[in-house]
Amino acid sequence: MLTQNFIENIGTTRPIVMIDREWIASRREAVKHYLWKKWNLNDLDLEEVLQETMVAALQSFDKYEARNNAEPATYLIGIAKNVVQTYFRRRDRHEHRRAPIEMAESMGVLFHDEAEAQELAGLLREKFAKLPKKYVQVLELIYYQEYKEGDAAAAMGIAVDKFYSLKSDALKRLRKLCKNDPRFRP
Amino acid sequence: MLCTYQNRLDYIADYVRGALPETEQETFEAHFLGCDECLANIRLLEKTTFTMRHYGASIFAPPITWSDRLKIWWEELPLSPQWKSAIPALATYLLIIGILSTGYAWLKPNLPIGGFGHTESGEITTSSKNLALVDLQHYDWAQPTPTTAPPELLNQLTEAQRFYQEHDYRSAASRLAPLVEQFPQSLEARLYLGLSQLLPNYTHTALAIKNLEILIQSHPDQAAARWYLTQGYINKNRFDAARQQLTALKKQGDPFFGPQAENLLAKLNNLKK
Repeated sequence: MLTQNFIENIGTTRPIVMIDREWIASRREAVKHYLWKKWNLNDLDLEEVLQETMVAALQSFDKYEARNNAEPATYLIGIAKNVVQTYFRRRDRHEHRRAPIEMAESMGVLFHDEAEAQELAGLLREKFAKLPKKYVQVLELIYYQEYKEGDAAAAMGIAVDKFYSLKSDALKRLRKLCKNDPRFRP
Repeated sequence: MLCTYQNRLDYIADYVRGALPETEQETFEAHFLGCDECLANIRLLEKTTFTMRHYGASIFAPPITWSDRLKIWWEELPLSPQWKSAIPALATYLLIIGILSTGYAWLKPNLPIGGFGHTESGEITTSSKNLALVDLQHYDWAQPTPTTAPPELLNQLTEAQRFYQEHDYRSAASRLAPLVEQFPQSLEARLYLGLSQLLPNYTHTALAIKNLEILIQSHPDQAAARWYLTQGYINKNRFDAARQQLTALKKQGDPFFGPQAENLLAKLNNLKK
C-alpha cells in the first residue's frame, strides 16, 4: 500500500509518497507500459528489461531521496532508463521509439492477438454510430488521417480553437463510451 | 494521490500520439508511473487510438445502406452472368407492362376502378366487392304518346324518341331537356330525360336523380322511374335511399319491376351485413 504523509508546515497539500516494496510492485504495469511506449523493445526484450528494472527498483529503494519535491515515479524512471541503456549497450544499439507502434509491437501489451484488435475495431464502429458526426470527424482526422490540429481544423473549415474544444469533447465522449466496457480494458 | 491531469484527457491523448514536447513528455511519464487513473486513461486511449489508426478504413467507412446490401446480395447470388443480365431486363419489362395496364385501367372510363362504374354491358359494379348490383338495361319507350299534348311537344317527343330508341341518349337528352323546361308536367319528357341521363354514353347521374325524384313526387306509381332512380342512388352510394325506393317499388306490386326490386333489395341487405 502507499504510505502518504502530508507536509503541512511548508504550506503545500501535495502528498509525498513514501516508496516501499508494495508500492513498487503495484507500479509494474505502469513501468511496462512506459518501457513499451518509450523504447523500441520487442516482446522478449520488454519482459527482460521490465524484470531487471523491477528487481533493481526493489533492491535500492531505501537509498532513494525525493529531491525538490519530485514525483516518486522519477525513481522508477531513473532505474528503467539505466537498465534499458545497459541492456542496449550489451546489444550494441541504442534506440528510442521514433516510428508509430506497429501491429506486431502491440501484441502482448495492448492486445492478445490480432483477432482481438479486429473485434475492438468493430466495437468502435458501433460506438461511433452513437457519437455526433462532428466528433467522429475530429477523431478520424487526428487518429486515422494523422493530421495536425491546424490542418484538421482547416479541413473541417473551423477555427483552430474550436477544433481543440471539439477534440477535447470528442475524447471525453469516447472515454465515457468505452471505459465501462470490459473489452476495452487491458 | 492527487492527479494534476485529472481533467486533461486531451493532454494524455497527445502523449499517446507522441505529440508532446520531450520535456513535457518526461514530466508526464514521471507522473503516470505513479498514477493509476492516468495509467488507465493512457491504456484506454492507447487501445482506441491504435485501433483507429490501423482499422480506420473500416471504422470510419460510411454506413452500409440498403442499396449497398442489395447490391452485395445480388452479386453473391449463385446465378450465371446471362441470368444476372436477363433478370433486370425482365423485371423492367414487367414493371412497364404493369404501369401501362394500371394506367389503361384508370384512363378507360367504363372500367370499374374506384367505387362504382359502368361496364360496357351497362352494369354498375363495385370494384371493391366485385358485386354486380344493378343491371342498367335500356328501357323501351313503350308508353303511347299522349294525343292531347300540344303538337310542338309531340313533334319534339317523337324526335327524341327516335334518338332514344337508337341508344343515342346524348341526342335524346339534348332534345328532352328544353321540353321539360317548357312542359314541366310532361311525364314522358321528364322520365326519358332522366333515363337518358342515367344510361351509358351520356351519364349525368345527379341530374337524372333530380329529374326522377321530381317525377316520382308527381307520379308516385311510376314504377320505371322509381327503378331507375334506385339505380342512380346506388351509383352514388346512397344505399339507404335506394332501399326506401326498392321497398316502395316492391309494395307497388309491379309485375316487371317488383321481383327485380325484391332481388336487388336482398343484395343490398347482404351488402349491409
